[in-house]
Amino acid sequence: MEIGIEKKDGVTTISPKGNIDYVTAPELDEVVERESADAASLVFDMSCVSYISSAGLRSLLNADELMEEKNGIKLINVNKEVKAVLDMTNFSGLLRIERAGSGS
Amino acid sequence: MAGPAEKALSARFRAFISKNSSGDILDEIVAYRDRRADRTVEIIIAAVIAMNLIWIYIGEIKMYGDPVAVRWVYFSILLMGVCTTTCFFVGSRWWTKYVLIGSLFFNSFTIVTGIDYTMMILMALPVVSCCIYYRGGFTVATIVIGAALMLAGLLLNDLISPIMIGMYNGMTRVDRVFSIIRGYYIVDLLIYLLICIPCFYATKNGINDIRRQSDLRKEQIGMEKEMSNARGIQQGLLITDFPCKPYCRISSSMSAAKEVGGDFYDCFMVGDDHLAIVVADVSGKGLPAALFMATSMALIRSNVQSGGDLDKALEKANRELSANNSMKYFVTVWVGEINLRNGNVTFVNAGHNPPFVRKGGKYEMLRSPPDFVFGRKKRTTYNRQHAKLDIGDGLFLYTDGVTEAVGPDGSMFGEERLKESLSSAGSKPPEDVLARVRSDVSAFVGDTDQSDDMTMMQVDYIHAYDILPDEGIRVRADRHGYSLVMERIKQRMTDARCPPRTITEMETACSEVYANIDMYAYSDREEKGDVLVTTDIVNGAVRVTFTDWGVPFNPLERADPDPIASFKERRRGGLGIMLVKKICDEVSYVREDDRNILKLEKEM
Repeated sequence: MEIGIEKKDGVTTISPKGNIDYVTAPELDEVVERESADAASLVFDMSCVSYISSAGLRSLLNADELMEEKNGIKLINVNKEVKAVLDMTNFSGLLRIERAGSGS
Repeated sequence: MAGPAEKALSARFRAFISKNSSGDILDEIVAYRDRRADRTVEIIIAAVIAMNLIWIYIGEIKMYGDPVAVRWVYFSILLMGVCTTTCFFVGSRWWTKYVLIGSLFFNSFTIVTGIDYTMMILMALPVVSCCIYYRGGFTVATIVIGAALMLAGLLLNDLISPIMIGMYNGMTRVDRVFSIIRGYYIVDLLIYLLICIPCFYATKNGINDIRRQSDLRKEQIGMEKEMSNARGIQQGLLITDFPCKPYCRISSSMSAAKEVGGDFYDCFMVGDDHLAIVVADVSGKGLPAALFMATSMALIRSNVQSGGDLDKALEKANRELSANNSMKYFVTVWVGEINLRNGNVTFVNAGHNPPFVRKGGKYEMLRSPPDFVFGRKKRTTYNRQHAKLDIGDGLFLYTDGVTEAVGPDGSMFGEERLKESLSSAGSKPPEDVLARVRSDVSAFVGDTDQSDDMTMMQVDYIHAYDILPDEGIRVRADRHGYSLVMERIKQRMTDARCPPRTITEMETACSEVYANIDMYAYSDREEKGDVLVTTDIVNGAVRVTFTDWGVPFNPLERADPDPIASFKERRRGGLGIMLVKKICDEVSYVREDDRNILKLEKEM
């Protein structure tokens, strides 16, 4: 899976492309682990994610725990399908989800 | 608004009038009666003023009245005028009735006191006037006050009026008073009480009337509520979310002439690739027709859906319905079954209006010899007829409420006008076609009341159901196989014209299931086994079936994770299978011949 990384003012934006499933989630975990060390906060740009499975949700959980001491994580550009999955699993109440461009 | 005295009175009044009437309705009726009574009393007072003036000027009362007393009478006339005008312009308030009746009393009192005590019977006038307010306490109080004022007026008259005294020359005041009481008061009081008896009963009857009216109104409101609930239930029976969206575009509309009607339509899948459509009209209207409609609809659906020939299915439903049809109702029905693979239509017409078929933008009536109506005779036989739809063709079904809509001149909308209306809509989407017919009918009808239920349904055949049964893809249950399987599932759903949202959601669910099989199915052996995946469209739903030959494992038996549990607890798992259950409409597991078979189903 292709994962875009962009760093700006201590904010690292991670943009996974494609599906986050049990095959691709470990790749995402790796990136998160690497980036969380020196980032003040992590932002996941979900605009290019078509669907996310439970393995992907666990990756987001890992990321949130890694960043617990800092500013936590945030999801932006969440599409309807991904939002539906977050709602079904009640993750939308636990993770910060924001529209694009509404500050960092 | 209402003062404390009025509140206390109306509370007692309400308690007296009805123990179970709703307060609002009662208040409404009482307020209405009060308004009417105020207007009436105002008219009475106007007449009294006129009578007073005539009497003073033409009857020359002032000639023998005491000048001071006559001035009091003038004053009372003025007071009545002011009170009446004020009450008229202020409208009905809680105090207006007291002011009006009070001014009448004052007038009578000044006349009795200042002019002539033989006119004591004038005190009956306020009593007669107040009994139209239908308040028991008010009437009784007025009767007592009237009797007292008669006596007071008499005594006061004796004090101030020298003319009357002259007639009893030489008597002491006490003797004179007793003589007047004996001679006039007793007689007048008896006449007065006689007049009061009918007034008292008029009040009592009025109260009973109000109570009955309030009960009737309450009953009526209850009925109206029941009717609107019935309408809600009936509307609920009619589906609005039609099946097989990728292949047919369907729109429907129903407006009942009464609150609930006897028309209905239905639309459901028969097997994987047949769509049944029903439009029907129960004889009669209102609640009984609606009840009959619900039964007919259920019987037709269950019999047609169980498969077999359409005519036989309808004959069976007809036998069941007519066996219990004690009220002799009947239904006209048009039932059709569209084979979504080739557009062949099989239909039965039980005395219903022939539908219109659209071919290349032109509507033609689909004529066929109609069979006998449905639900009336046990031994009715039905005949299957045939028609053919090509891709892009449409079918317009309706009830006679459309063609028999009556215009202001008494003529009917008719089939010709309907055909014109349909043709002008041409090949527009079904919603637009129905909107067009609806607006044409309402323009034709104008302000005339809708006399019959009006039901329409348009079905456009837009794509052939051309997906063949899936022979399946069999791969080793590992990551390499995963991408092959997922690609195949997506391709099948795209071919079947699933909506994109359904495709993505099913992909998510399938991904979970595959991950489960990869991780657990062959955990007991060194080398991984296979998984077989098929994707089919069944009854308007996508069905993906996963078969593996691994250890028995029913994922559905895992408990859902607690939604409010902490993140850490959630990691223990169960999240994936919860997602699958939430996404799919149906998930089932069987263990068969050492295989795990998991089926996922979701409406398109």
